[in-house]
Amino acid sequence: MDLTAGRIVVGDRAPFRHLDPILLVTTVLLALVGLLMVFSATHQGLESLGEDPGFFLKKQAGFLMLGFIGLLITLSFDYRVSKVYAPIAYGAMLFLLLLVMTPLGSTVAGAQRWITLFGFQFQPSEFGKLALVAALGAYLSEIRREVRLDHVWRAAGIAAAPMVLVFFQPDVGTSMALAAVLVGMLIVAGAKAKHIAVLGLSALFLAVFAFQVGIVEDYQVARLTGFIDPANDPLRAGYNRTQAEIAIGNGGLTGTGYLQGTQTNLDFVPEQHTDFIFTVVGEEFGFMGASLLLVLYGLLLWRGFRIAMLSRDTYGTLLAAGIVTMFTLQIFVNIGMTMGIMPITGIPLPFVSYGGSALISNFLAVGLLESVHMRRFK
Amino acid sequence: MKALAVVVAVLFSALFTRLWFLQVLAAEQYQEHAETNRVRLVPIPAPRGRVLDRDGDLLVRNRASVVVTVDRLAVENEEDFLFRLSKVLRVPARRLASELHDPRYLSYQPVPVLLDAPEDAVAYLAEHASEFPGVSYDTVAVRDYPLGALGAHLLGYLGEISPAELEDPRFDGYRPGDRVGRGGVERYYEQFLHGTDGWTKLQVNSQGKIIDDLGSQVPRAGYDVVLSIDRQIQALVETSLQEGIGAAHTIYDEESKKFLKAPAGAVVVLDPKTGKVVALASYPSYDPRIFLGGLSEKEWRKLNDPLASYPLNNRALQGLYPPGSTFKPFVAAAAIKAGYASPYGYYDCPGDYVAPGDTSGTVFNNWKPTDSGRISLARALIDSCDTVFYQFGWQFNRDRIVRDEIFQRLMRKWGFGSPTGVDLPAESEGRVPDIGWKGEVHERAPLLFPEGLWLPGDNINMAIGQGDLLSTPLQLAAAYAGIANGGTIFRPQVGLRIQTAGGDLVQEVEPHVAGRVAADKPALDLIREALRQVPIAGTARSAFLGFPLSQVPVAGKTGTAEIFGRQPHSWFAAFAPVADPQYVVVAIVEEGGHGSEVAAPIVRRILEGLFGLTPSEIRPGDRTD
Repeated sequence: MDLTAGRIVVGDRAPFRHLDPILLVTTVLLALVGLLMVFSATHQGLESLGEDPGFFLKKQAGFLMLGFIGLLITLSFDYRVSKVYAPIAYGAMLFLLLLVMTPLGSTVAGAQRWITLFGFQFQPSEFGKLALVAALGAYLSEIRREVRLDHVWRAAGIAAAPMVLVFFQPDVGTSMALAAVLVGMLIVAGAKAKHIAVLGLSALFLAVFAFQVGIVEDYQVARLTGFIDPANDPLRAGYNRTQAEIAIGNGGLTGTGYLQGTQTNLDFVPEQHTDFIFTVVGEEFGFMGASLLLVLYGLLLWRGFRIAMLSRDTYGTLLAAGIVTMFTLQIFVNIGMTMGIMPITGIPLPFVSYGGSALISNFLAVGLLESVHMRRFK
Repeated sequence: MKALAVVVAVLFSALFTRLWFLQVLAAEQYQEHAETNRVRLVPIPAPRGRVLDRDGDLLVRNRASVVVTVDRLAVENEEDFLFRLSKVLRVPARRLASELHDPRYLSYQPVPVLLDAPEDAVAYLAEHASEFPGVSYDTVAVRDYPLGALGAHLLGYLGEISPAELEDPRFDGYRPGDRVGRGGVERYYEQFLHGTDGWTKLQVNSQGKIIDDLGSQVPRAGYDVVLSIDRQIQALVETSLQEGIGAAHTIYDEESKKFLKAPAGAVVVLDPKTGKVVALASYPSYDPRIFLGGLSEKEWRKLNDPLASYPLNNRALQGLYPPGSTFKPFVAAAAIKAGYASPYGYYDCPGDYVAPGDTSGTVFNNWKPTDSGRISLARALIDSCDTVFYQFGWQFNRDRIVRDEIFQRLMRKWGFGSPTGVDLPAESEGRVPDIGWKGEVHERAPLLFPEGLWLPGDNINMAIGQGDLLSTPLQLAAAYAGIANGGTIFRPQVGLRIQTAGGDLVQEVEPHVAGRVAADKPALDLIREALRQVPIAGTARSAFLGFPLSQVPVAGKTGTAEIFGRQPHSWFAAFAPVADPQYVVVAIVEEGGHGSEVAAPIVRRILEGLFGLTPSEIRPGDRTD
C-alpha cells in the first residue's frame, strides 16, 4: 500500500520543520500528569514511613528526562534505520527475555520480569513491545501483492516467541499487548478477515490446551472468574477491583481535589502508583479530570492514526499502526481494569504509571512516530 | 486502517460510558463506600439510669465489672487451655467450657466466660498473655442490686436485645449486644433508663490504623426512675408473704385430706388517694443477680420448671383468680345501684338456695349451713352470707336482657375485666364473663366449654365471686381503693417521677383517674361500715385478735375462691384507717385454704408494720367463709 499518492509538495524539506507539535505536546502533558499522579499516590505512604515523600516523583521525573532525550534522539534519525536493525533488536529482545528467566533476572512482587544492570532495574518486555513492532513491520512491509495465510502464520511465529517468553514470567498483560500488536498490524497490512479468524481459533485452541495442561496458574484463573462473577472470588482479586471502583466513584463529577483523595491518601487502593494510577485521577479530579485524560489519550491515538495515514511508505504505516495498537490496548485494558470492566492484568498506563522502562520505551515509540511524520515527504 | 479506527472509537466510548456510570450516576453509592472505608464510629456507651424508692434509696444501680472473654478461634488445645484458665480464674473448668460453647455467640465473636473476674486473676492473664491466646478482658457496666432479691418482680432485670427488637422502631439506635430491660420497671421505663450513647469518629487507613480524630459526642446518661415503693414496707410485705405461706403449709385441709399446698401468692399495697403502689410482691421470687452474666441453660430450665411454680411470673398483676367473697362488696354496691337492695334493707340468709322456677334440682350452698333468718345487708357482708348474694345474682340474671347486662357493666366500672394500665409490663386482663363471651368460647373450644348458653347459675355464682369471673390481685386492690376513697378508681402506678442523674426533674408520673364508680355515698358508707366490722366481729375476727382495732380501725373482707379439683385460694382485702384510709392491702395465697386462715394473718402483720404497731407472729386464723 503506497500512501505517498496524496503528498503535497512543500518548499523546505528540513525534517525538523515537519514535527507534529500536537503529538509532542500531548505526550509531554501526559507524562507531567503522570508525575503529579505518582506524587499523590505515594507521598502519604512515604511520609508515614519517615521517607522522602517525593522519592517516587523524583525517580519518575528522572525517567521522564531520560525518555524525552531518547525521544529527541529517536526522531532525529530516519525511522527506516529501524527497519534495518529490526532483526538485531528482535534478537536482543529475545535474549534479554531469556535472561530474565535465568537466575540473573530479579523477581518483584512474584513476577520475574526485571534485570538489574549496573544498578538499574529494567524491564525487557517493555522494550520488547517496540522491538516486535519493528520486526513485524519489517517483515510485513516486504510482502508484495496479497497477504496470504502463510504470511499470517509467519507473522504469528515472529510474535509468538516473545509472547511465550513473556507469558511465563508471568505477565499475561504484556502477552496480550503483543497479541494485539500482531493482530492490529496484520489488519493494517491487509490480512483478510478469514486469516484473522483462523488465527483467533487457533489461539482459542491453544488457550484451552493451556488450561487443561495446567500451564495457566490458579490465580490467573481466579482473576478472570473474579472479573466475570464478583460474588465468587477469593479475597484478593476482588478487593483490588472493589477499592479501585470506590476510589473512582468517590471522585464524583469534579473530584476531591489534588492530594485530597481520601482513598488515595489512606492507601485503600493497592498498587496505586503503578497499575491503578488511574484511580488517583478519578478520585482527585472526578469525571471532568478523568474525561480530560481520556481526551488526551484520544489525541495521542488520533495523531498516531494520522501519522499512519500520512506515512510515505508501508513500513512507516505499519510502524505507526503497531505503536497505536500497542498504546490503545494498554490504555483500554488498564483503565478498564480500574473501572471494573476488564479483568485485572499487570499493564501500566502509558506515560502516567510509575515505571522507568515503560516510560522510556513509550517515549521512544513516540519518537518513532515523530520520525515517520517528519519524513513523510522524502 | 479504518477498521482499527472504528475499534478504537468503540473502546473509548466504552471507557467513557463506564466512567460516566461510576462518577456521575452511581457516585453517591461509591462515595458512601469511601466513607465506610475510612471512617470508624466507635460508640461510647451511656450509663443506664438507676431505680430509686420514694425516699431516694437505691434499688437498682450500676457498677463496674471486669469480664474475661475468649476468642474461640484462637484456642488450640481446648482442654488444656480451659484447665489452665480455670486455675487462674479459680472457676471450675466445666463451667468455663459451658460458657465457651454458648450457641448464642457466632464463632468469630469473643465469648464472655466470667463476669466479675478477680483483679489478681486478670493481672496474671495480662502478664502471661502469650500463654492464653485469644483471652481478653474488658471493663463493663453491670446492674447492681444493693437490696439483693428485694422487689425482683417489680424491678425486672436486663437481657440482651433480640433480633426482633432491633427491627422495632422503638429500639432505634440500639446495637446488637445492648442490654435492654426485661419485665418490671426496667422494661416499662426502658426508654427513660437507656440514655443516649455517645460516639467518637475516627479516621483509619486500609490497615485499620487510626489516623485522625474526627470529633466525638458525649453520651447522655439514662434518667433515674423514682418509684412510689417504700423499700422498708416492701421488705416487710415480702417477708410476711413468705412467712404466711410457710404457715399455710402447716394447716391440714380436711376436704382434700392434705396439708395446704400454698405454692405461691401475691400482695399489693396501694395508696387509695393517688393509686400509687407502696409495695408489690409475688411469691415465689428469684434473685435478679442471676441474670447478670447471662443465664446458663441450667438456670433457665430451673426458672421455668413447673415444679418451681414459675418464679418469674409476677402474680400480683399476672395471676388470674376468682375473687371469691372479696367480690361481695362490689355486688352489694351494684345491687343497691340496680335497685335490688337498699343500704338498710333486710334479706333472707338461708343455709342453701334454689333459684325460683329452677327444676334442675341445683342447690347453691352457703358456707354456713345454718339458716340465719333475715339479716341486714351489712351483716350479709360481715358474715359473708352467700345466699343473700345468690338472690341478687338471680335478680341480675332475670333482668339481664332488659337491663343490658347491667351487672357486668357495673362490675367493669370498678375496673374488673380490663387491665389497670399499671406502669409494669405483661399485665393480665381479667375477665367479667357475659353472654357474648360464653357463646364465643363455647364455639371455639366446645370440649373446654361445653355450655354455650347463659344460665342463671352463671350470674348466681358471679354474685359470690365465683363462676368464670377472674381478677388479678392488683385489680382487686384498685377496686378496694375505690371503696376506700369514696368512689374513684385510680390507675395503680409504681413510678413517682423521672429525674436526671443529678436529681433534676424530667417528668412527674401524675396520678391518673381511670373512672368513677356507679355507687353513691350512702352505699359506699354502708359498705365501709360493714367491712369495718369484719375484723371485729366478722369472718376475720380470729385473725385480728389482739390487733388494736380501736386505735387503727381496719376495714376488710375475707375470700375463699373455690377451684374445681384444687384447694381453694385464700384472699384478704383491707384498708385502714377506715375514716381516712392511707393504705389498701390485698393478699392472696394460691391453694392457701380459707381467707381467714392464711391471707388475713398476712395482711394483719403488714398492717402492724404500716402503722408502727407491735408485730405479731403470723398464726393461722379460724376457718370461716
